[in-house]
Amino acid sequence: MVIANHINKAFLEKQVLRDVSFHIKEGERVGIIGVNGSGKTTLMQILMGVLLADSGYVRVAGEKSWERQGKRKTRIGFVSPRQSNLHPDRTVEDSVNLCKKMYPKAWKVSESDLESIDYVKECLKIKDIWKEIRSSLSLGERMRAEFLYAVMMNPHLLIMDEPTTGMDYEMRTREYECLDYFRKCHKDMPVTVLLVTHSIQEMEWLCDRVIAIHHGQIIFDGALEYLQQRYLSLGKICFEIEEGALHFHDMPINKYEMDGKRVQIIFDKRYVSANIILQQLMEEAVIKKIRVLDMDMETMIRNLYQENQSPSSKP
Amino acid sequence: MEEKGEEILNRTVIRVENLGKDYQIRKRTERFWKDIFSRQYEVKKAVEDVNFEIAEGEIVGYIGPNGAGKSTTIKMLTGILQPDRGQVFVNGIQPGKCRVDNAKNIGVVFGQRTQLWWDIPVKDTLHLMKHMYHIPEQTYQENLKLYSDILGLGEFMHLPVRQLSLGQRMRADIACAILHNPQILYLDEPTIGLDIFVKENVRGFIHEINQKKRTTVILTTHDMSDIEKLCSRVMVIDQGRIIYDGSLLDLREQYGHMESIEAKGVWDDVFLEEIKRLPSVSVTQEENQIMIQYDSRKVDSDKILFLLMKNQRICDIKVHEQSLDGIIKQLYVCKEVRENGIFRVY
Repeated sequence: MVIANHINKAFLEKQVLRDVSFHIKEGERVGIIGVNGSGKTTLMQILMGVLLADSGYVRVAGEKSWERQGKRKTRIGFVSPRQSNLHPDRTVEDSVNLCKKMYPKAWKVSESDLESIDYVKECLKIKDIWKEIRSSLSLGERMRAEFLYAVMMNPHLLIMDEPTTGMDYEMRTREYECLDYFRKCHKDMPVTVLLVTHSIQEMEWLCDRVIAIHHGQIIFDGALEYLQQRYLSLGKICFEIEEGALHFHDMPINKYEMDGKRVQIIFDKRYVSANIILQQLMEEAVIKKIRVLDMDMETMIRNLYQENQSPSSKP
Repeated sequence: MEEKGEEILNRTVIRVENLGKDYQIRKRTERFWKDIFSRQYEVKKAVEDVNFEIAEGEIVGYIGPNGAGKSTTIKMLTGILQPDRGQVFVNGIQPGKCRVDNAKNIGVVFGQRTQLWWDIPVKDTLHLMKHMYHIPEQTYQENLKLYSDILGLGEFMHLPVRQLSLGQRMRADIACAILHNPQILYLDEPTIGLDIFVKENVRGFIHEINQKKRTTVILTTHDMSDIEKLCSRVMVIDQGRIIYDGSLLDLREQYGHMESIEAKGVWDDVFLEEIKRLPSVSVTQEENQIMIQYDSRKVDSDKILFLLMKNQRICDIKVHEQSLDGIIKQLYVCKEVRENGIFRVY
């Protein structure tokens, strides 16, 4: 679906993308992560044909993305908080109708398509904002309308640049439900999704592959599980001591913290599993309110970036 | 508010009494001409009967779904909107009536907008702010140095704002809002669209400002990790009414009792039946992985874990507490709360 080979892009002297290459198959759901200013948005803009790469080979669905834009526009759905597809001074309804009129060829939809669009409308509560003018919408509300607009034309590729900014938790989950539903409706050709986000949770909900970009270079490309295994090796156990005393020194743990009754233990999952520690704990004391958690995902991302500090990026 | 016997150590800086705000929404019908000549309006209550007090030095998280009335409340507190009913006092001033006086006391950051000049360097905007707020030279230099150190403004101080990345812009925006040592800082989604490093930096900064200058912070956000890291007190608003006001810990204790255990291993049916017999426990199995959900008020995690431990063939265990997102979601749907009125734990 998407082929990118050795893309380079610079704004004046500032090199934004360095030798970026990846292939995305049809129907894949890929998450792209990176710190602010790492080149994610530039990459998306190159894929959409808004920007031209300085060098390299880009093909989206077998075509050059910067040619024949009119035809392509209906085949790529795009959601972003920074750029809006909707008309600023018109209602959401008008924008949607205008789109239908502008691309009559693409707007040949079957019953089932209409049904899925209705589902999206219902699920994201678009009725409430249907007759509102775009500029009067809050960001969260606008993003819901943008999402509808993007999937409406039944695109082959959906590029979502932080699609849930400003939305509350409930709506976020619903948006991903919608996407799932949408993909189920088109089983023969499920939409390929490129998701740019800072939220690991959303990535877990949607993606089966993660690409991490740092200083314009790809530093990780693979399954999310693999990323977790490699960079998320620490686990955490929290509990309260009811009776007895514990001796932490002879336990296979990295460190512990005690705050009155509450205790927190950090251990390395590569060397010891949680149940061994728990067993030892329970033999020695009566403990309550036990929690066994992974270190948070943010730690994982931090490890990932720290390992890949490229020397060329430093001034 | 019931606060007899409770000594308020800190001075109250914000007092809100029976606050209400309506919006008129024009009803549109299908008939165009009729619409033009006779306009009909619908009154929507954006905020209704909101009461709270905030003491000096508190960091309060103000959360609610889209369209719940968060921004409307903040706008009334900053004086952008006039309340329709009730009163607001910020430092004893009514912000709607004395906007200029009020503006000297507060700093505001709206995450989706910016108050920096688009085309001029950050430095110049800050300089402009100095003159606008009549900040003495010494305070200006001190603050500038302090904020540059913590927020790392130095590297992009000379760049025009349009060339900054989102993270840099947000840091500059916060520095700009707090340059005149305001007593109260309103932050409306300050971490929107930021990566984890900048997020941490911003959170650290807010914490430090709060500690050093005893700035009162009111924070609205959809990112629950912000709340968990920063706020001691949360207010939850839904459909214009405050449905929870209390500490984060109490919120967890009152609503966060659905917990879950994930475990990998080899399971036999007899064993699983034994677990299922415990009160409020439900088990779902997927090949060698099982997921046990239970209510922590009825059964403690150690009982289940003890049972699991007896089974020698397990290799990985995780015990999760309910996520804050889940708790808040539960709060929105929880009817009891609505019927009994507001829960106050303070």
